[in-house]
Parts: sequence; structure tokens; C-alpha cells
Amino acid sequence: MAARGQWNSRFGFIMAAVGSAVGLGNLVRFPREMADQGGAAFLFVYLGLLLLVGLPAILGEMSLGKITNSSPVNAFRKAAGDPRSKWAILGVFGVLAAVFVLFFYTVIAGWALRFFFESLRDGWFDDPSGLFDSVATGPWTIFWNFVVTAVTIYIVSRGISGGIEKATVIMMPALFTIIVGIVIYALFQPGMGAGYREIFDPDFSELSVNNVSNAIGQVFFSLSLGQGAMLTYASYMEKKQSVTKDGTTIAFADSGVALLAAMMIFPVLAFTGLLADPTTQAQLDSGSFGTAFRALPNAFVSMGDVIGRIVGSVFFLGLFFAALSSAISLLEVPVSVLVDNRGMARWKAALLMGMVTYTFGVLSSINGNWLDLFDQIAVNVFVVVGVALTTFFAGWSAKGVAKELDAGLKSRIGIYVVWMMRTIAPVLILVTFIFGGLWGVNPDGDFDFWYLAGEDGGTSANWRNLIELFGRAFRFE
Amino acid sequence: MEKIDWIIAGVGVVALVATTLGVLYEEDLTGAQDITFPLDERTINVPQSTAFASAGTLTAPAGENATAAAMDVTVSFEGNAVAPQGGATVRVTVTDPAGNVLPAQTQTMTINNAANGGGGVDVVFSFDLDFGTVPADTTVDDVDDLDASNTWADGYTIDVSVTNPADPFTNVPNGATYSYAAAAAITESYYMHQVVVTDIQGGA
Repeated sequence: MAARGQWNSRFGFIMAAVGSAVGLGNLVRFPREMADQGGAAFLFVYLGLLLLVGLPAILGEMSLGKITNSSPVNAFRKAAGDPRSKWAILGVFGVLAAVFVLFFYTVIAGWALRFFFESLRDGWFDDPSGLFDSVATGPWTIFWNFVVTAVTIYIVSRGISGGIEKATVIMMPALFTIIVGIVIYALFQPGMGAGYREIFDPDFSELSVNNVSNAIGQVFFSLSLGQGAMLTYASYMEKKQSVTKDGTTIAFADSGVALLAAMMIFPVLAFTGLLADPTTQAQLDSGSFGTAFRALPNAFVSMGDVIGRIVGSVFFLGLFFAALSSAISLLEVPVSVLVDNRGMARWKAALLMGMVTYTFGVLSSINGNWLDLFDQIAVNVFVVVGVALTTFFAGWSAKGVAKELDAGLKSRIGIYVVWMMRTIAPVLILVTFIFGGLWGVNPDGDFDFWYLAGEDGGTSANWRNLIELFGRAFRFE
Repeated sequence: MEKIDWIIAGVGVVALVATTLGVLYEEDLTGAQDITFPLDERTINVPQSTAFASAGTLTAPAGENATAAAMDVTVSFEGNAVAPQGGATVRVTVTDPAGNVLPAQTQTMTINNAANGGGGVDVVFSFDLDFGTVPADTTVDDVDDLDASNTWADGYTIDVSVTNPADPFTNVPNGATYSYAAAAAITESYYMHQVVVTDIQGGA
């Protein structure tokens, strides 16, 4: 299937897939959630859910791609053994999830790129946490979204080995080097220990149903599940490659990067003396954006003029690489469908879909309500349902999944993984969907059907919130 | 051109139009919403036999990012006037956080006799305050300037002094109590609502 493209090497595939998985979820969201929700206690829950849900789900998606050698929609038809199978709707779900995420993801990648350039030219050193207010929306946000989208289109249009693989084998090792470099630098600074205590001191009293819901969401988010990306990338694997080996490597590399990011961010905040600062705490509590674009710039400035600029600029470059490599994998999903199903030239498909996602990204660039809306639709509608049913499908209906999982292994574990796909994984995902999506969890930990997400620290996955967001976005408030 | 080329060209035109509209789009960040909040209440007791002035102080709380504000000070009479009808002199002075004293305002409060229902007629003093925090034509590009340094840490001080009706004062047999309260109306700039997203749920 040379016409479809193929990875040049196993290393190239793993870098591309890790690049897809590693993004904002690892670098910013995971560290903040870990520190906020019980430290090592959250890590245990996360790793448990990674094994019970994340690993079967990613192996299921990858198996479908590799067995069928097809893009998402065709993959479900082929795996079901019926060219008119209704399961193909799950492929459509994946494509829509990827497209909806791209409606805002390149905007955020643009923020990171802007911060990188601003750090080279004094942009935020006078007002480290204030720049974000002007970066988040406005004409310049449109410009940076355009730049990121153009780069993404170019890389995807160059093909699997000639574009995506070449870009990610540079970006991912660079990102890893940046993170490890900052971790090591922080390790030798006095006062960094408080950061490690913040993320590793277990606090089991923090664990709640809300935590489990958040942890499962983090697993999906982090592994790029339910967006067709892993399925699509796996469809370009060589036949001799092992889905189980590579999928497990990707899942644990992804979690490893997330853990390293936590060991980077919190020690940095600790040794710069900001961890105990109420303003910094408020920025951390406000979410991933407050952490990345307000709290950390303050910390970089506290490091001093030269070191602060160096660390700040490489951090934002790394954040941009992480976001760009994920955006590439998301654009590849609809492009692969157009190439496979419509016979479209790759560059035309990349240009077309890139322009579509950019156009909707303009909305996210001028009004944050749109960004929020696209995010909630992608997650609450497409991703959760898509992951649950895809895992269920891979376990019950797809042909040859257990055999594919055993390929290249000495022991037969495929049947056990398939059993998890059939039972534990979809049940846990659906429970999360029902209790995290349909119901909100209020700060007391009680389920509340009409609880408005985000109110007083409640869960954010709530369909009432989605309805509210529709209202806000279309009124352009 | 093939059909797909026309589609790509069409989407390109849409993207161009969206970009143009997006660049031209400017949220009305200069708009404002009024927030009114009560500040504080005090009373002054003026003893029976003395026609004299008394004073008390109200302090406005610290606030954030207001573009303009007005403050109303309302003074009421709570005594027990009998007769005849008279007038109390009420004087209000406002001092801003920098110590500048705004021009004092004086009004006469009518205090009714029993035949007219007794009690006093409230007097209201209005002060236009310039908190000096945010330019009125703020746009999103000015957001850099709108950080915590624009808050005012010290409150405004409001001094009220009252002179009882002097002729004949014995008609306020148990002395007079005047209560006064201030309410501030603040015009808050919209930019505070611009960055609404703090996190994302999905992605990679």
C-alpha cells in the first residue's frame, strides 16, 4: 500500500504517535490535575485507569487501523466484514471529533508560538501574566492560528514518511530534551523540594467520583483517543510491527512525558518562590491556560533576565512542538478519509481540510466562547461516545483483533485484552459518560443532573454546560 | 478545473472572508455595565439642647478596574420632631484615596412638624468620582495596562456633618438622630469578560 504511505521506521511511527498523544494534556493539564487532586493518589488512579481503559482502548483503535490498513470510516466497514456496515458511523464520529478539536487546537498552538516569539523579544517580561489577555483573542490570534494551520497543512501534505515522520522525529526528541533539561535544571535549585511534595505527597482524601471522571477524561485527552488519530496512524504501520508492543510503548511514553512535565512545572514554581503565592495558586486553580500562560511566565521572570528568557523560550517552543505534533495527527484523520474514500490528492485534501478548520478557528480566535463550545462538543458528544463504542466494537464485532494483538509476541495476551475491551473498558467509559457528562458533580461530590459545570469547582463535563455554551457563543457575549 | 478544485477555491474564499471579518470584528469592549453597591451606614446623634454639627466617616471599599463611578450619599432624619417645622443643615465632604478633597456639598433637610407627619425629608448628595483606573476607551489591546496596579487600594472617605434646626430647637425633645448611607455606582469595563476560557477538556 505504498500509495497510502507508510512509516519509514518503527522509531518514526512511535515518534509520530507519541507526538499525537503528547500535547497540552500532558504538558499542562496532567501536572495541574495531579497536584490539585491528591498528588500520588491521583497518579495511582490515573495509572489504574490507563491500564483498565486507556490501554485496551488505544490497542483497540490501533488494531482496527493496522488490520484494515484503512482510514477511520473504511476501517470500521472492513473490520465488520460488511462494506455497508452501520459501524462506519464510529469512523465519522472520530473524524468529526478530530475536526472539532482542530477548530480550537491550532489557536492554542498559536498562543504557544506567540509566547515563544514574545519571549525572544521581551514581549512578556514586563508583564509576565498580562500578555495572555491580549494573546487569547483578537486579530493577532487569527494571524498565529493561520501560521500554525499553514505549517500543519504543509507537513501533512508532504505525506506520512516525507512529512509527518520527518517533522516528528525532530520535534519529539527536541521536546523530550527540553523537558528533561528543565527538570534537571530545577533539580539543582534550592527550594525545589516543595514542588515535588506538591505533586507526589499522596492525599487520598482528595479522591472522589469526580477524580475518577477527571482521570478517565485525562486518559482519553492525553492518548488522543476517540479522534481517529491512533487508528489512522496505525493504518500506516508495517505488517511486521506489533500493535501491542508499540501501543504499550506509546501509552507509557505519553504518561511518562506527563509525569516529567509535572516534575518540571511544580519544582520550577517552587524554587522561584511562587508556589505558595496566592496569586499563583489562583492562576493554577483557573486551569491549564492559567498555568501555562500566567503562572509559568511569572516563574521564568523570577529566574532572572538571562536564564528566565532561555528557559521561558525553550518551554514555549516545546509546548508549541507538542501542540503542533498533535494538530498534525488530527488533520491527518480527515485527510486520510478524503484520500482513501475520494481518491483526492493528499495536498488538496490537506489544503481543503486545513482551510475548513482554520475558518472555524477564526471564531475561536475572536471569541473564547466559541473555543469552549467546540471543545465541549468534541469531548461530550464525539469523543466519549466514540471511544466507548469503538472499544466495544473492537472487542465484540471486529475480526482478527486478538490475533493482531498477539502478532510479534511470544505470549498470547490478545484474548485478555479483547476481554477488557468487551467488558471493563466500555462499562467504565459509559459510567463516566453518564455521570460525568449527563450529570454534573457538585463540590460536595453528589451527582446533580442540573448542576452547572464549572460552578464552584464542579465537574466541567456536563451537557447543561454545553447548552449554555451554545447560547453564549451564538449571542457572541 | 476539476470539481474538487472549485470546492477548494470556494472554501478558500470563505476562509478569506472569515479572516477579514474576524480582523475587522472588534468586540465592544468600551461598553460598560453599572454595578451599584451599598457602602456603609452611620448615624449621628445630636443632643437636644445643643445646636451643633457632628461628623462621621464612611469608607468606600477598594475596587478594581472601574472606568467611572458615581457615589450617592443619602442622609435621613430619624428623630421625633414635634413643631414647628425647621431645617437641618447637612454638609458632605468626600476625600479621594490620594487625600484630595472634592468640593463639599451642602443641603438643607426639611424636618416636618407633627401636622405634616413628622420626620425629615431625605437629602441625596451625588458625587462624580474619577477613580482614575482605566481609560474610558479601553480596547483589548490595552489589556496589558489593566492589571492589578489599576485597582485602588484605599477607599474614599465620606464625611457628613449635620446642624440641627436651630429655631426653636426644643421641638426636638429627645435630640435628633440622622442616619446616612452611601451607595456607589461603578461602571465596569467589559474587558474583564473577554478571556472566558480557562481550560480545555479535549485535544491530545
